[in-house]
Amino acid sequence: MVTMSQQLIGWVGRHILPHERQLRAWLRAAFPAIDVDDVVQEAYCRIATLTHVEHIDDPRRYLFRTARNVVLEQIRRERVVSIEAASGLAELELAPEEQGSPERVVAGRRALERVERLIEGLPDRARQVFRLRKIEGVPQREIAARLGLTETVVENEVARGLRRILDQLTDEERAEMPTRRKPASRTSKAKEQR
Amino acid sequence: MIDDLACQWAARIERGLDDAEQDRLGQWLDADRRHRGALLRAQAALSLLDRGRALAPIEDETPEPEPATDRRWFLKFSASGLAAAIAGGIGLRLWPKGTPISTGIGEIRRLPLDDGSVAVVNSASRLRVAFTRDRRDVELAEGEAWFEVARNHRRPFTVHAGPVRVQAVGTAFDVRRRDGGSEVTVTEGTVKLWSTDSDAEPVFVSAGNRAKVSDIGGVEMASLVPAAPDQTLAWRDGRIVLDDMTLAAAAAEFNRYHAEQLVIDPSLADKQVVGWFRTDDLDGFATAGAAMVGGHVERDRNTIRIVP
Repeated sequence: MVTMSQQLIGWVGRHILPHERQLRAWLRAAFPAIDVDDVVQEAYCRIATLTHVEHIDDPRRYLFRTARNVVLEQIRRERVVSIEAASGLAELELAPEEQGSPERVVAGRRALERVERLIEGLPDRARQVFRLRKIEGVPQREIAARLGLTETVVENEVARGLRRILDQLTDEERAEMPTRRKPASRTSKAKEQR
Repeated sequence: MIDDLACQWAARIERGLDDAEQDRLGQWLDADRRHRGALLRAQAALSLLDRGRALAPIEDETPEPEPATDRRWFLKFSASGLAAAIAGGIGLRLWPKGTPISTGIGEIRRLPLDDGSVAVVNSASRLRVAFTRDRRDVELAEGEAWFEVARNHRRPFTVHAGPVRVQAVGTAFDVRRRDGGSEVTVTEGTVKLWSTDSDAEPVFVSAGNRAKVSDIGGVEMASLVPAAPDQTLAWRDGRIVLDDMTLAAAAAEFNRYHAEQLVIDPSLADKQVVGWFRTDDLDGFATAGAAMVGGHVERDRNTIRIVP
Protein backbone atom coordinates (compact mmCIF):
# COMPACT_ATOMS: atom_id res chain seq x y z
CA MET A 1 0.00 0.00 0.00
CA VAL A 2 1.37 3.35 -1.00
CA THR A 3 -0.39 5.77 1.27
CA MET A 4 -1.21 5.64 4.93
CA SER A 5 -4.69 5.30 6.34
CA GLN A 6 -6.82 8.36 6.97
CA GLN A 7 -7.23 7.15 10.50
CA LEU A 8 -3.49 7.21 11.14
CA ILE A 9 -3.11 10.60 9.46
CA GLY A 10 -5.92 12.09 11.51
CA TRP A 11 -4.60 10.61 14.70
CA VAL A 12 -1.12 11.97 14.09
CA GLY A 13 -2.59 15.39 13.30
CA ARG A 14 -4.63 15.52 16.47
CA HIS A 15 -2.48 13.68 18.95
CA ILE A 16 1.15 13.65 17.83
CA LEU A 17 1.85 16.83 15.90
CA PRO A 18 0.68 19.14 18.71
CA HIS A 19 3.47 17.72 20.90
CA GLU A 20 6.30 17.89 18.40
CA ARG A 21 7.24 21.40 19.44
CA GLN A 22 7.77 20.32 23.05
CA LEU A 23 9.54 17.21 21.93
CA ARG A 24 12.04 19.26 19.97
CA ALA A 25 12.60 21.65 22.85
CA TRP A 26 13.18 18.76 25.18
CA LEU A 27 15.55 16.94 22.84
CA ARG A 28 17.54 20.12 22.34
CA ALA A 29 17.87 20.69 26.07
CA ALA A 30 18.66 17.12 27.00
CA PHE A 31 21.01 16.37 24.10
CA PRO A 32 22.81 19.45 22.86
CA ALA A 33 24.93 17.32 20.56
CA ILE A 34 22.15 15.50 18.82
CA ASP A 35 20.62 16.20 15.43
CA VAL A 36 17.07 16.89 16.50
CA ASP A 37 15.62 16.88 12.98
CA ASP A 38 17.13 13.48 12.45
CA VAL A 39 15.58 12.03 15.59
CA VAL A 40 12.17 13.53 14.91
CA GLN A 41 12.22 12.29 11.34
CA GLU A 42 13.09 8.81 12.49
CA ALA A 43 10.33 8.89 15.09
CA TYR A 44 7.76 9.70 12.40
CA CYS A 45 9.14 6.87 10.29
CA ARG A 46 8.34 4.49 13.08
CA ILE A 47 4.92 5.94 13.65
CA ALA A 48 4.26 5.56 9.93
CA THR A 49 4.59 1.81 10.31
CA LEU A 50 1.73 1.58 12.80
CA THR A 51 -1.18 -0.35 11.43
CA HIS A 52 -3.52 0.67 14.21
CA VAL A 53 -3.43 3.12 17.08
CA GLU A 54 -6.32 2.18 19.35
CA HIS A 55 -3.95 0.57 21.80
CA ILE A 56 -2.07 3.81 22.39
CA ASP A 57 -3.66 5.44 25.41
CA ASP A 58 -1.26 8.26 25.69
CA PRO A 59 0.02 9.48 22.32
CA ARG A 60 2.20 12.17 23.81
CA ARG A 61 4.01 9.70 25.95
CA TYR A 62 4.22 7.37 23.00
CA LEU A 63 5.87 10.06 20.89
CA PHE A 64 8.40 10.93 23.55
CA ARG A 65 9.14 7.31 24.17
CA THR A 66 9.61 6.60 20.50
CA ALA A 67 12.01 9.52 20.19
CA ARG A 68 13.82 8.38 23.30
CA ASN A 69 14.31 4.94 21.80
CA VAL A 70 15.72 6.52 18.66
CA VAL A 71 18.19 8.49 20.77
CA LEU A 72 19.12 5.40 22.74
CA GLU A 73 19.83 3.45 19.61
CA GLN A 74 21.97 6.23 18.26
CA ILE A 75 23.91 6.35 21.49
CA ARG A 76 24.42 2.62 21.44
CA ARG A 77 25.68 2.82 17.91
CA GLU A 78 27.80 5.78 19.01
CA ARG A 79 26.41 7.71 16.17
CA VAL A 80 26.17 11.44 16.62
CA VAL A 81 26.09 11.44 20.39
CA SER A 82 29.08 11.35 22.67
CA ILE A 83 29.18 9.19 25.75
CA GLU A 84 28.79 12.27 27.95
CA ALA A 85 25.43 12.88 26.39
CA ALA A 86 24.30 9.65 27.93
CA SER A 87 24.03 11.51 31.22
CA GLY A 88 20.94 13.12 29.76
CA LEU A 89 19.40 9.69 29.71
CA ALA A 90 18.64 9.83 33.39
CA GLU A 91 16.21 12.61 32.68
CA LEU A 92 14.66 10.81 29.79
CA GLU A 93 12.16 9.03 31.93
CA LEU A 94 11.23 12.14 33.82
CA ALA A 95 11.30 14.96 31.37
CA PRO A 96 8.43 14.33 29.01
CA GLU A 97 5.80 13.23 31.44
CA GLU A 98 4.81 16.45 33.13
CA GLN A 99 1.13 16.48 33.84
CA GLY A 100 -1.79 14.34 32.88
CA SER A 101 -4.51 14.66 30.36
CA PRO A 102 -5.65 18.27 30.81
CA GLU A 103 -2.29 19.42 29.47
CA ARG A 104 -2.71 17.20 26.50
CA VAL A 105 -6.14 18.50 25.75
CA VAL A 106 -4.85 22.02 25.95
CA ALA A 107 -1.97 21.17 23.63
CA GLY A 108 -4.38 19.90 20.99
CA ARG A 109 -6.53 22.97 21.26
CA ARG A 110 -3.59 25.34 21.23
CA ALA A 111 -2.28 23.69 18.09
CA LEU A 112 -5.54 24.47 16.35
CA GLU A 113 -5.50 28.07 17.52
CA ARG A 114 -1.97 28.35 16.33
CA VAL A 115 -2.93 26.94 12.95
CA GLU A 116 -5.55 29.68 12.68
CA ARG A 117 -2.99 32.35 13.41
CA LEU A 118 -0.45 30.85 11.07
CA ILE A 119 -2.93 30.84 8.23
CA GLU A 120 -3.60 34.51 8.88
CA GLY A 121 0.12 35.12 8.57
CA LEU A 122 0.43 33.59 5.09
CA PRO A 123 0.81 35.72 1.96
CA ASP A 124 -2.50 36.83 0.38
CA ARG A 125 -3.06 34.15 -2.19
CA ALA A 126 -1.99 31.29 0.05
CA ARG A 127 -4.19 32.63 2.80
CA GLN A 128 -7.21 32.68 0.52
CA VAL A 129 -6.54 29.17 -0.60
CA PHE A 130 -6.27 27.92 2.94
CA ARG A 131 -9.31 29.76 4.16
CA LEU A 132 -11.43 28.33 1.38
CA ARG A 133 -10.09 24.88 2.10
CA LYS A 134 -10.45 24.97 5.76
CA ILE A 135 -13.40 27.09 6.59
CA GLU A 136 -15.57 26.35 3.64
CA GLY A 137 -14.23 22.93 2.78
CA VAL A 138 -13.84 23.75 -0.90
CA PRO A 139 -11.82 21.14 -2.83
CA GLN A 140 -8.57 22.26 -4.44
CA ARG A 141 -9.96 21.96 -7.96
CA GLU A 142 -12.81 24.29 -7.18
CA ILE A 143 -10.57 26.73 -5.37
CA ALA A 144 -8.60 27.06 -8.59
CA ALA A 145 -11.78 27.87 -10.51
CA ARG A 146 -13.02 30.34 -7.91
CA LEU A 147 -9.78 32.22 -7.66
CA GLY A 148 -9.08 32.03 -11.38
CA LEU A 149 -5.84 30.15 -10.86
CA THR A 150 -4.53 26.97 -12.42
CA GLU A 151 -4.72 23.83 -10.36
CA THR A 152 -0.96 23.62 -10.32
CA VAL A 153 -0.71 27.05 -8.80
CA VAL A 154 -3.23 26.15 -6.11
CA GLU A 155 -1.40 22.93 -5.42
CA ASN A 156 1.87 24.76 -5.08
CA GLU A 157 0.32 27.27 -2.76
CA VAL A 158 -1.00 24.46 -0.62
CA ALA A 159 2.37 22.72 -0.57
CA ARG A 160 4.32 25.87 0.26
CA GLY A 161 1.84 27.11 2.82
CA LEU A 162 1.70 23.70 4.41
CA ARG A 163 5.47 23.61 4.67
CA ARG A 164 5.54 26.95 6.34
CA ILE A 165 2.74 26.16 8.75
CA LEU A 166 4.28 22.81 9.55
CA ASP A 167 7.59 24.42 10.46
CA GLN A 168 6.05 27.09 12.58
CA LEU A 169 3.68 24.73 14.28
CA THR A 170 6.30 22.25 15.28
CA ASP A 171 9.35 24.25 16.12
CA GLU A 172 9.76 27.01 18.63
CA GLU A 173 12.86 28.39 16.94
CA ARG A 174 11.48 28.54 13.48
CA ALA A 175 8.23 29.94 14.82
CA GLU A 176 10.06 33.17 15.54
CA MET A 177 10.25 33.94 11.84
CA PRO A 178 8.48 37.19 11.10
CA THR A 179 4.98 36.74 9.84
CA ARG A 180 3.21 39.41 7.94
CA ARG A 181 0.25 41.26 9.34
CA LYS A 182 -2.74 42.37 7.42
CA PRO A 183 -5.54 44.76 8.15
CA ALA A 184 -9.00 43.48 8.96
CA SER A 185 -10.55 43.25 5.47
CA ARG A 186 -8.91 39.89 4.92
CA THR A 187 -11.96 37.66 5.08
CA SER A 188 -14.14 39.65 2.71
CA LYS A 189 -12.62 38.28 -0.46
CA ALA A 190 -13.11 34.69 0.48
CA LYS A 191 -16.71 35.38 1.28
CA GLU A 192 -17.37 37.18 -1.99
CA GLN A 193 -16.29 34.09 -3.82
CA ARG A 194 -19.26 32.13 -2.63
CA MET B 1 14.16 19.31 1.31
CA ILE B 2 12.45 16.07 2.22
CA ASP B 3 9.80 18.15 3.92
CA ASP B 4 9.26 20.28 0.83
CA LEU B 5 8.66 17.22 -1.27
CA ALA B 6 6.50 15.63 1.39
CA CYS B 7 4.29 18.73 1.50
CA GLN B 8 4.09 18.70 -2.28
CA TRP B 9 2.96 15.11 -2.24
CA ALA B 10 0.47 15.75 0.53
CA ALA B 11 -1.08 18.49 -1.59
CA ARG B 12 -1.18 16.25 -4.65
CA ILE B 13 -2.71 13.34 -2.78
CA GLU B 14 -5.34 15.73 -1.54
CA ARG B 15 -6.50 16.57 -5.07
CA GLY B 16 -6.18 12.97 -6.26
CA LEU B 17 -3.32 11.20 -8.03
CA ASP B 18 -3.37 9.77 -11.52
CA ASP B 19 -1.72 6.42 -12.22
CA ALA B 20 1.59 7.88 -13.29
CA GLU B 21 1.72 9.96 -10.12
CA GLN B 22 0.84 6.93 -8.02
CA ASP B 23 3.89 5.22 -9.47
CA ARG B 24 6.11 8.20 -8.86
CA LEU B 25 4.91 8.47 -5.30
CA GLY B 26 5.65 4.78 -4.80
CA GLN B 27 9.16 5.31 -6.15
CA TRP B 28 9.70 8.30 -3.95
CA LEU B 29 8.58 6.44 -0.85
CA ASP B 30 10.81 3.49 -1.70
CA ALA B 31 13.83 5.67 -2.36
CA ASP B 32 14.39 6.50 1.31
CA ARG B 33 12.60 5.04 4.31
CA ARG B 34 12.37 8.49 5.83
CA HIS B 35 10.06 9.67 3.10
CA ARG B 36 7.13 7.78 4.51
CA GLY B 37 7.50 9.41 7.92
CA ALA B 38 7.85 12.84 6.37
CA LEU B 39 4.75 12.29 4.25
CA LEU B 40 2.77 11.15 7.27
CA ARG B 41 3.77 14.27 9.13
CA ALA B 42 2.81 16.54 6.22
CA GLN B 43 -0.52 14.82 5.71
CA ALA B 44 -1.22 15.01 9.41
CA ALA B 45 -0.62 18.77 9.37
CA LEU B 46 -2.84 19.14 6.34
CA SER B 47 -5.57 17.24 8.16
CA LEU B 48 -5.45 19.94 10.83
CA LEU B 49 -6.23 22.43 8.11
CA ASP B 50 -9.29 20.57 7.01
CA ARG B 51 -12.74 21.85 6.92
CA GLY B 52 -14.37 22.58 10.19
CA ARG B 53 -11.68 21.11 12.32
CA ALA B 54 -10.80 24.40 13.88
CA LEU B 55 -14.36 25.62 14.10
CA ALA B 56 -16.11 22.50 15.23
CA PRO B 57 -16.00 21.58 18.88
CA ILE B 58 -13.11 19.27 19.58
CA GLU B 59 -14.88 16.00 19.94
CA ASP B 60 -12.08 13.55 20.35
CA GLU B 61 -9.80 15.24 22.80
CA THR B 62 -10.37 12.72 25.53
CA PRO B 63 -7.02 11.01 25.66
CA GLU B 64 -8.49 7.58 25.83
CA PRO B 65 -11.78 6.35 24.52
CA GLU B 66 -13.70 4.24 26.96
CA PRO B 67 -15.20 1.52 24.87
CA ALA B 68 -16.31 -0.86 27.57
CA THR B 69 -19.50 0.17 29.28
CA ASP B 70 -18.81 -2.08 32.23
CA ARG B 71 -15.62 -0.15 32.76
CA ARG B 72 -17.49 3.12 32.87
CA TRP B 73 -19.77 1.63 35.37
CA PHE B 74 -16.82 0.45 37.32
CA LEU B 75 -15.11 3.81 37.27
CA LYS B 76 -18.20 5.53 38.55
CA PHE B 77 -18.52 2.96 41.21
CA SER B 78 -14.94 3.32 42.26
CA ALA B 79 -15.03 7.10 42.19
CA SER B 80 -18.04 7.22 44.45
CA GLY B 81 -16.46 4.59 46.62
CA LEU B 82 -13.38 6.70 47.01
CA ALA B 83 -15.39 9.80 47.68
CA ALA B 84 -17.21 7.89 50.36
CA ALA B 85 -13.93 6.67 51.75
CA ILE B 86 -12.70 10.21 52.07
CA ALA B 87 -15.94 11.56 53.45
CA GLY B 88 -16.13 8.68 55.87
CA GLY B 89 -12.77 9.67 57.22
CA ILE B 90 -11.10 7.89 60.00
CA GLY B 91 -13.12 4.72 60.20
CA LEU B 92 -11.92 3.67 56.79
CA ARG B 93 -8.30 3.81 57.68
CA LEU B 94 -8.45 0.27 58.92
CA TRP B 95 -8.26 -2.67 56.61
CA PRO B 96 -10.21 -4.36 55.25
CA LYS B 97 -12.39 -1.33 54.53
CA GLY B 98 -11.86 0.87 51.53
CA THR B 99 -12.77 0.21 47.93
CA PRO B 100 -12.07 -3.27 46.62
CA ILE B 101 -10.89 -3.65 43.06
CA SER B 102 -10.32 -6.89 41.28
CA THR B 103 -9.56 -7.98 37.77
CA GLY B 104 -10.46 -11.27 36.15
CA ILE B 105 -8.06 -13.46 34.27
CA GLY B 106 -6.91 -11.65 31.16
CA GLU B 107 -8.40 -8.35 32.23
CA ILE B 108 -6.26 -5.25 32.50
CA ARG B 109 -7.85 -2.18 33.96
CA ARG B 110 -6.77 1.43 33.94
CA LEU B 111 -8.17 3.30 36.90
CA PRO B 112 -7.92 7.01 37.48
CA LEU B 113 -7.95 7.44 41.25
CA ASP B 114 -9.56 10.28 43.08
CA ASP B 115 -6.34 12.10 43.92
CA GLY B 116 -5.18 12.34 40.31
CA SER B 117 -3.07 9.21 40.51
CA VAL B 118 -3.52 6.42 38.03
CA ALA B 119 -3.42 2.70 38.70
CA VAL B 120 -3.16 0.13 35.95
CA VAL B 121 -4.13 -3.24 37.33
CA ASN B 122 -2.88 -6.41 35.71
CA SER B 123 -4.69 -9.68 35.17
CA ALA B 124 -6.02 -11.68 38.13
CA SER B 125 -5.25 -9.07 40.76
CA ARG B 126 -7.01 -7.92 43.87
CA LEU B 127 -6.44 -4.67 45.59
CA ARG B 128 -8.12 -2.29 47.94
CA VAL B 129 -7.88 1.45 47.88
CA ALA B 130 -8.36 3.48 51.04
CA PHE B 131 -7.75 7.21 50.89
CA THR B 132 -8.15 9.55 53.81
CA ARG B 133 -7.33 13.19 54.30
CA ASP B 134 -3.77 12.51 55.32
CA ARG B 135 -2.85 9.26 53.68
CA ARG B 136 -3.38 7.15 50.62
CA ASP B 137 -3.15 3.41 51.11
CA VAL B 138 -3.46 0.65 48.59
CA GLU B 139 -3.38 -2.97 49.59
CA LEU B 140 -2.24 -5.35 46.89
CA ALA B 141 -3.59 -8.69 48.00
CA GLU B 142 -2.76 -10.53 44.83
CA GLY B 143 -1.32 -9.90 41.40
CA GLU B 144 0.32 -6.78 40.01
CA ALA B 145 -0.37 -3.11 39.51
CA TRP B 146 1.51 -0.09 38.22
CA PHE B 147 0.94 3.25 39.89
CA GLU B 148 1.54 6.76 38.72
CA VAL B 149 1.26 8.77 41.85
CA ALA B 150 0.06 12.35 41.98
CA ARG B 151 2.47 14.44 43.99
CA ASN B 152 1.30 15.32 47.47
CA HIS B 153 3.88 15.44 50.23
CA ARG B 154 1.31 15.66 52.97
CA ARG B 155 -0.54 12.55 51.89
CA PRO B 156 1.92 9.70 51.48
CA PHE B 157 0.94 7.03 49.01
CA THR B 158 1.75 3.54 50.31
CA VAL B 159 1.25 0.18 48.70
CA HIS B 160 0.90 -2.71 51.12
CA ALA B 161 1.95 -6.03 49.61
CA GLY B 162 1.78 -8.48 52.49
CA PRO B 163 4.28 -7.12 55.00
CA VAL B 164 6.14 -5.26 52.25
CA ARG B 165 5.57 -1.52 52.06
CA VAL B 166 6.29 0.65 49.07
CA GLN B 167 5.90 4.36 49.65
CA ALA B 168 5.98 7.08 47.06
CA VAL B 169 5.47 10.79 47.07
CA GLY B 170 5.23 11.65 43.38
CA THR B 171 6.49 8.85 41.26
CA ALA B 172 5.60 5.85 39.13
CA PHE B 173 6.26 2.26 40.00
CA ASP B 174 5.07 -1.29 39.59
CA VAL B 175 4.46 -3.83 42.34
CA ARG B 176 4.08 -7.51 41.64
CA ARG B 177 3.30 -9.98 44.38
CA ARG B 178 5.03 -13.30 44.20
CA ASP B 179 5.26 -16.22 46.60
CA GLY B 180 7.15 -15.09 49.67
CA GLY B 181 7.81 -11.56 48.50
CA SER B 182 7.22 -8.76 46.03
CA GLU B 183 8.97 -7.23 43.06
CA VAL B 184 9.06 -3.46 42.73
CA THR B 185 10.04 -1.72 39.49
CA VAL B 186 10.45 2.04 39.65
CA THR B 187 9.90 3.95 36.41
CA GLU B 188 9.94 7.48 37.75
CA GLY B 189 11.19 9.19 40.92
CA THR B 190 12.06 7.23 44.05
CA VAL B 191 10.18 4.95 46.40
CA LYS B 192 10.84 3.92 49.96
CA LEU B 193 10.66 0.23 50.60
CA TRP B 194 10.42 -1.82 53.77
CA SER B 195 8.76 -4.83 55.34
CA THR B 196 6.78 -4.75 58.56
CA ASP B 197 8.09 -8.24 59.29
CA SER B 198 11.67 -7.05 59.47
CA ASP B 199 13.75 -4.65 61.50
CA ALA B 200 15.87 -3.76 58.51
CA GLU B 201 16.10 -0.07 57.61
CA PRO B 202 13.95 1.08 54.70
CA VAL B 203 15.64 1.02 51.32
CA PHE B 204 15.25 3.72 48.69
CA VAL B 205 14.82 2.58 45.13
CA SER B 206 15.14 5.09 42.33
CA ALA B 207 13.93 5.18 38.74
CA GLY B 208 15.45 2.56 36.51
CA ASN B 209 15.84 0.02 39.29
CA ARG B 210 14.01 -3.02 40.39
CA ALA B 211 14.08 -4.54 43.86
CA LYS B 212 12.99 -7.94 45.02
CA VAL B 213 11.85 -7.87 48.61
CA SER B 214 11.17 -11.03 50.52
CA ASP B 215 8.33 -10.79 52.99
CA ILE B 216 10.81 -11.21 55.82
CA GLY B 217 12.77 -8.22 54.67
CA GLY B 218 15.73 -9.16 52.50
CA VAL B 219 16.11 -6.72 49.63
CA GLU B 220 17.86 -7.60 46.44
CA MET B 221 18.49 -4.78 44.03
CA ALA B 222 18.87 -5.02 40.32
CA SER B 223 19.33 -2.13 37.96
CA LEU B 224 17.46 -2.18 34.72
CA VAL B 225 18.94 -1.68 31.33
CA PRO B 226 17.17 1.25 29.68
CA ALA B 227 14.83 -0.91 27.65
CA ALA B 228 13.79 -3.05 30.57
CA PRO B 229 11.15 -0.85 32.18
CA ASP B 230 9.25 -0.98 28.92
CA GLN B 231 9.68 -4.67 28.90
CA THR B 232 8.57 -5.15 32.49
CA LEU B 233 5.60 -2.90 31.98
CA ALA B 234 4.57 -4.06 28.53
CA TRP B 235 1.57 -5.71 30.16
CA ARG B 236 -0.02 -2.29 30.48
CA ASP B 237 -0.29 -2.21 26.70
CA GLY B 238 -1.52 -5.78 26.59
CA ARG B 239 1.83 -7.07 25.49
CA ILE B 240 4.37 -9.51 26.77
CA VAL B 241 7.97 -8.97 25.88
CA LEU B 242 10.09 -12.06 26.23
CA ASP B 243 13.78 -11.43 26.28
CA ASP B 244 15.85 -14.56 26.57
CA MET B 245 13.43 -16.20 28.91
CA THR B 246 13.01 -19.93 29.32
CA LEU B 247 9.97 -21.39 27.64
CA ALA B 248 8.65 -22.51 31.03
CA ALA B 249 8.97 -19.00 32.48
CA ALA B 250 7.33 -17.51 29.39
CA ALA B 251 4.44 -19.96 29.66
CA ALA B 252 4.01 -18.99 33.31
CA GLU B 253 3.78 -15.33 32.22
CA PHE B 254 1.07 -16.18 29.71
CA ASN B 255 -0.82 -18.36 32.14
CA ARG B 256 -1.41 -15.32 34.32
CA TYR B 257 -3.75 -14.03 31.66
CA HIS B 258 -5.68 -17.10 30.70
CA ALA B 259 -7.99 -19.67 32.23
CA GLU B 260 -6.77 -22.09 29.62
CA GLN B 261 -3.27 -23.10 30.65
CA LEU B 262 -0.09 -23.76 28.73
CA VAL B 263 1.88 -26.77 29.87
CA ILE B 264 5.44 -27.25 28.77
CA ASP B 265 7.05 -30.63 28.46
CA PRO B 266 9.96 -30.81 30.96
CA SER B 267 12.41 -31.62 28.19
CA LEU B 268 11.66 -28.23 26.59
CA ALA B 269 11.25 -26.17 29.74
CA ASP B 270 14.74 -24.68 29.77
CA LYS B 271 14.93 -23.69 26.12
CA GLN B 272 15.19 -19.95 25.50
CA VAL B 273 12.58 -17.93 23.71
CA VAL B 274 12.41 -14.31 22.60
CA GLY B 275 9.72 -12.17 21.07
CA TRP B 276 6.78 -9.88 21.49
CA PHE B 277 3.28 -11.16 21.92
CA ARG B 278 -0.14 -9.88 22.74
CA THR B 279 -1.18 -11.16 26.13
CA ASP B 280 -4.48 -12.34 24.69
CA ASP B 281 -2.82 -14.35 21.95
CA LEU B 282 -2.19 -17.62 23.75
CA ASP B 283 -2.47 -19.65 20.57
CA GLY B 284 -0.05 -17.42 18.75
CA PHE B 285 2.46 -17.76 21.52
CA ALA B 286 2.01 -21.53 21.73
CA THR B 287 2.61 -21.89 18.00
CA ALA B 288 5.60 -19.54 17.94
CA GLY B 289 7.02 -20.96 21.17
CA ALA B 290 6.78 -24.51 19.87
CA ALA B 291 8.47 -23.48 16.65
CA MET B 292 11.28 -21.74 18.53
CA VAL B 293 12.15 -24.80 20.58
CA GLY B 294 11.49 -27.34 17.83
CA GLY B 295 8.40 -28.81 19.46
CA HIS B 296 4.75 -28.94 18.54
CA VAL B 297 1.41 -28.06 20.05
CA GLU B 298 -1.15 -30.50 21.45
CA ARG B 299 -4.52 -29.61 22.89
CA ASP B 300 -6.69 -31.11 25.60
CA ARG B 301 -9.87 -29.63 26.85
CA ASN B 302 -8.41 -26.88 29.00
CA THR B 303 -4.75 -27.26 28.33
CA ILE B 304 -2.37 -26.49 25.54
CA ARG B 305 0.75 -28.58 25.64
CA ILE B 306 4.05 -27.94 23.97
CA VAL B 307 5.77 -31.29 23.51
CA PRO B 308 8.80 -32.47 21.52
